[in-house]
Amino acid sequence: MAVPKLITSNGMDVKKGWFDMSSLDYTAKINSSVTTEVKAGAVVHLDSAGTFSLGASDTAPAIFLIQGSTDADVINEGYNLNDVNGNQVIDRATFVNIAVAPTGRISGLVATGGYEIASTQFDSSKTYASGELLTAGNDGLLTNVAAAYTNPIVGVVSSGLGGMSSFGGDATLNHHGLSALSFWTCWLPTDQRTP
Amino acid sequence: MPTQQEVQLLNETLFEQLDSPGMQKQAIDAVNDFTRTKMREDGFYRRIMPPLTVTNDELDRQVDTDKPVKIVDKEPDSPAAVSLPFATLPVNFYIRGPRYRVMFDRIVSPRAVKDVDELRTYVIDIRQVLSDNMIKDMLAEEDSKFMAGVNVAVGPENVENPLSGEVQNKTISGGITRSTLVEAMKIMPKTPSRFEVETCLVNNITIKELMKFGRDEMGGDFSQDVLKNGWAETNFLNCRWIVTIKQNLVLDNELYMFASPKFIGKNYELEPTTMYIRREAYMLEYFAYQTSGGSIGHTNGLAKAKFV
Repeated sequence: MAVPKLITSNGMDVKKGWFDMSSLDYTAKINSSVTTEVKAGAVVHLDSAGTFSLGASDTAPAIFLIQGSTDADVINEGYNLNDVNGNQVIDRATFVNIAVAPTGRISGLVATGGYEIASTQFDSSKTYASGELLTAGNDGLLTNVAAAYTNPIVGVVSSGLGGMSSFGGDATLNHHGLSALSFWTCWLPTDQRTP
Repeated sequence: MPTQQEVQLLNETLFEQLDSPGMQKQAIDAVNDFTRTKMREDGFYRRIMPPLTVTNDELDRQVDTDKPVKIVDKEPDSPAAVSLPFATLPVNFYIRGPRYRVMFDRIVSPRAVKDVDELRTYVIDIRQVLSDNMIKDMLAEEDSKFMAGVNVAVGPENVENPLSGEVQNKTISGGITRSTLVEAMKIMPKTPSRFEVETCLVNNITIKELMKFGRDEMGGDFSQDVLKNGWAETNFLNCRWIVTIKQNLVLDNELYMFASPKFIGKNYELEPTTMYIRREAYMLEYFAYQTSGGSIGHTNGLAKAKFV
């Protein structure tokens, strides 16, 4: 049996700007072409199909996911979802249930909303300094390999790694003992002008 | 239908309750009385799978999530009995029972905002105005989710369902006649579970095809009554018939068939439909929400026929 996932493994703390009734969030399904688990805190954008695709887009504002794609209020998988042709497959040997709810819709905060977020979904091979620009690759992870107008900018590093308190004396870890990157959300699309 | 005088009294009552600090709860209760009745009348999902209330104590805690989950046991299959000669022992089987999980999400109406002074000029039943569209939207969402699950369960048209080994989504030629209807009724009992259809669901266009049945097809005065008075929800073919206006969910000439809910799955309600109302100075805001979850744990109690 697989090791169960820790509730605290992935996610994002919204340190400022959320929640109240006027918070700018958005809800959609994950695009069916995304076959990997999308974790809470990952960067997505609204694609032309009206679904979330991973990573930052040149023109569509970044969205930071509040839930992960396997969270219990997002999906209740009870059968094999798709075969290689994208058809839904129900198999007698593995069928458990078909969910009426939830339906796969997932929520996120829109980068233009003005939040400070601490997310576990970033490229941990990089070092981060306050004031650095952030973008996100197609894996949905934040990275500071970002240049204004060349890459879509989704945030600016605030306090950087760590959380609201250090963990075991390591200031780069959040209170769950995980590495989380703190940043302010913002949105700057790439330069769309034709040279 | 309340009189205009009664309507104004209702509106005044609502405003009085909203005017008094700390009285929002009473206003919410006033609206809830109405919305719950509409919910039972309008959502076909709730009529096919009546919601069961779940309390906190009945939720099953999970290691990997702090979100509400309820685990439901399924009846296990067992090997068939066999005839044996004397002095022979039975074969063993180890008891294992399958289970499935019901998870929950929230259905929320849009939040409406209005200046209360603009509301004063309305002479219609403001409680109904406040809640009607929201509740309809929530019911449509609930029904839509259910039908999406049912369509997965019955599988593609004329393709054998791997769980039952039978076609549970069948195209039947010949239009809607007494004969083709009875053919449709055979789909579900042919599955290994042998369930009989308890509820039929069609849209309000399809039902009119049944209203064309003459005395010889429908039987006696029933034909006369239907022609005279239209189709009222009634037992027909020993089934309860539900007619929906949601033609986007149940298409013309399609018939969905359901066994008793206990053979299908669970529809749990963790938080019943609640109307949140808040007044801040002269601005009024309100929205409705509910927390519910459902799963189809067994697919043999579902069938669909398409008449061509």
